[in-house]
Amino acid sequence: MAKLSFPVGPQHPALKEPENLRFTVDGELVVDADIRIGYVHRSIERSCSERNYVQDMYLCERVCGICSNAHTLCYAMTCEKLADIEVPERAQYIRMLMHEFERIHSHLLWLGVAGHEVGFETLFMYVWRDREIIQDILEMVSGNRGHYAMTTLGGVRYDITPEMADRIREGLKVLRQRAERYADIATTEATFLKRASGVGVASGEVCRSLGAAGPTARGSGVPFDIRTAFPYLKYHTVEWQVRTSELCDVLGRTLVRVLEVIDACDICLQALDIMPEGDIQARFPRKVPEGEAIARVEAQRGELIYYIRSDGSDVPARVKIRTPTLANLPVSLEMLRGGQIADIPIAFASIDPCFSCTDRMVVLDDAHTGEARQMTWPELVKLGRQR
Amino acid sequence: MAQKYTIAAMAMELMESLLLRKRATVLYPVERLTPPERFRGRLRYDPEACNLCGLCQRDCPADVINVVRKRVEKEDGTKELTGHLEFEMDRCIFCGQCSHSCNSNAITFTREFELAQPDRELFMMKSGGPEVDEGECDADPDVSP
Repeated sequence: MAKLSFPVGPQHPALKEPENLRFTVDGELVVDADIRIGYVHRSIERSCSERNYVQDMYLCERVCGICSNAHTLCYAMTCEKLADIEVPERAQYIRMLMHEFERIHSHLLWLGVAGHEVGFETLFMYVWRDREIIQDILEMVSGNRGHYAMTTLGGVRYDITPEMADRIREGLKVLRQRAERYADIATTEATFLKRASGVGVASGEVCRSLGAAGPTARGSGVPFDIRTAFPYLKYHTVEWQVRTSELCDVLGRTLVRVLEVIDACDICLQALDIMPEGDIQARFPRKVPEGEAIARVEAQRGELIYYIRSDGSDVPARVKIRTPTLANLPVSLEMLRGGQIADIPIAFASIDPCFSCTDRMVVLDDAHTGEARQMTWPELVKLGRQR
Repeated sequence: MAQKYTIAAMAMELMESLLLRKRATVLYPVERLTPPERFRGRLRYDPEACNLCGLCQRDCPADVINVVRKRVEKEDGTKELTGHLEFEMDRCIFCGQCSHSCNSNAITFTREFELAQPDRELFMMKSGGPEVDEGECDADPDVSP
């Protein structure tokens, strides 16, 4: 049979965000896959160089709606390195709690979406119902269900009161039980096993060579987690382990995520018990000393990196963001190759892609010569904000 | 994880969900959930408490706030700095940084969340008056709150 090439996207039913995938198929078999991104580029890095450090915090929070706290955390950690500010201990524990709350909500969201992608709608409904427990906790602590605005330069905005701690404990205990049940379903439920086992295979070697990050790499047996490799916050004071799976397929990545939900509950429960009393915010200078700094955190989807260069003013000279989806895109194409057409949605969704975070764009003045140019701030304002 | 997830267990869970648990959702707008204490709903501005320092304006990431400063001549001939803030709430992202930056507790957020309006102009919180650009700032500009 002749090979056939066809495009999927930018608008298509498998994912909510636009991207363009190009497949070459031989019958039902995917022979080759390629991706084109850039449809939701928002010039966030460039915009950061036009606002002060406090304003940039909220801009970076809006890089991603799901991992917004990971972005503000990483941004704040980079700024604190630049300004050489020590964050109070209690603030570090609260940051760790928020980081793990967000991991729980994100992994549960993904599990629901995975259920939806494999046609297991009941799982989707159950998981999303249970996710409301952690959403309520996030709303109680930060005041918002998304874009929490919890992290601030030098610490956190809100404290956790003893009453809140009790409600968090109650909620997390229920969630932990539910996560154990989902781990059961993932390993024993025949429908799910048939749609997840042996689908979207990427070996540990492929993941290493293509630089995969987070649960995508850990689902292929690569035991790499920034929380242990380059410890930050207070992860060294609580007991937990890096979860990996040798299955190298969608099932492996599912298991890693569900087990990470259980671990996150344990981390939070331990942190609530050992959290010291004290200040929650250190004073942060308006103008940051000249220099450059880099910080990395283990966001839900994998390693998130921020680089900031300061010229000594109250506006950063350069902010560079490396999101985990960008690291996982090459390996996702590898997962699609050799698979069935029907497996494309779940295989691709198994890296938990987020294109709004990832999008990069080059403006080509001349498509034939490939001459690129930089857009100016007034041009960006005109494109994005002017009425 | 050793326990087999059987059809019987699934049926039990379904029965439990249908018969014993209350609904996971509420019938808005007949039933309403109360937002938590820290919820950032409608913005409330207290002009009496405001010292016109302008920190909120400087930190607002969405360019919502405009400080209007006026110099009013009193009866004894001395000049007094007065003024107020104007908010273009259609741009507000409800991050709450203005309230966090405010040293005099002039900006707070209420728990009111039904804020939709049919017209953009209705989002403007302005109290008018002639504008004077020169002003004094009594907050330390080199340290964030």
